[in-house]
Amino acid sequence: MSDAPLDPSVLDMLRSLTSPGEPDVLREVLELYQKDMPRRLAQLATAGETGDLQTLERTAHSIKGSAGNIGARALHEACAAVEHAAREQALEPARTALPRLQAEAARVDAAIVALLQA
Amino acid sequence: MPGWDVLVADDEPVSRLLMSVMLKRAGFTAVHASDGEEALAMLSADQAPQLALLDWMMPRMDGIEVLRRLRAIPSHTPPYVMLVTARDATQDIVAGLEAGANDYVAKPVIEAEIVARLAVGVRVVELQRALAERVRHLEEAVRNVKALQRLLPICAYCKAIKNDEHYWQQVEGYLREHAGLQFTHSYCPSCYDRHVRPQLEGLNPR
Repeated sequence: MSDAPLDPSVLDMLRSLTSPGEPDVLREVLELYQKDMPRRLAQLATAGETGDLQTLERTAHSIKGSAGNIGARALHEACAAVEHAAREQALEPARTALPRLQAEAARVDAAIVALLQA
Repeated sequence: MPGWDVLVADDEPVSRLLMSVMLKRAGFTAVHASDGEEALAMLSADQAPQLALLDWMMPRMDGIEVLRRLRAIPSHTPPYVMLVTARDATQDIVAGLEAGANDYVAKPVIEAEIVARLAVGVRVVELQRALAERVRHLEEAVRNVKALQRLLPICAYCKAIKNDEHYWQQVEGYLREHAGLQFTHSYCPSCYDRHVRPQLEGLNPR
């Protein structure tokens, strides 16, 4: 189960937050995540190319926060690796860690699309 | 906790949404800021929320700086601020509390925990309010005692007192206002003989 891009127990927790008569919280959270990700991933890619360590750190931190909220554990770890390297001013390790972050983001996105269509 | 506004300051929209949902379910009203400068402005405004969930890493001003500046403003009722952050190393927790946070919660937040911690915040804010109110009453009482300690101009005949606004005021009214004294009107034996008896005899000749 730890291989699932989204931790089922976190998804259950998000489902349980929906009050009667209110919008589905899980759906709202996932849609908001999806809406905000392309911009942040583009920011991250640009910062990687230009060597902007501060933006790398901030954006990886921000995606890490979203990932934690939706139970995307592998993405969370990949973000932490980029954030940590960028904070240590280690540009090459930060760049090297980017593809894993991007791959995990793609897995999470696919899982969300499947969930929202179900 | 109906009627309590809580500032949710976070640049990350998913966190803002989740915390707002949790707050709403517990009866709080969430108000939002998406960077540190906005958070500081909202917390130092008139009628500011008395409770806040503050992210550490935010654009324009981080949560630590928001706390430092906020705590530099003197107030009898400072807001109760919880730092909410994924930075959970011991030195981060210490730095957060030293900058003036009342509490510290790790992200991602858990509904039961955040609601329980906010309930602590409500108790602290209510206690502060009660103390501030008590202090206000005491200061007013001290002012009144000081007013009574100075030399009071009093009319030698009718005993009226010249008050702070230079109006002549009946002694009862003056003492009621400045010392909270209550009076019940009666007459002493010599005034009875001098004023009351002649009137009674005037009503009933013989």
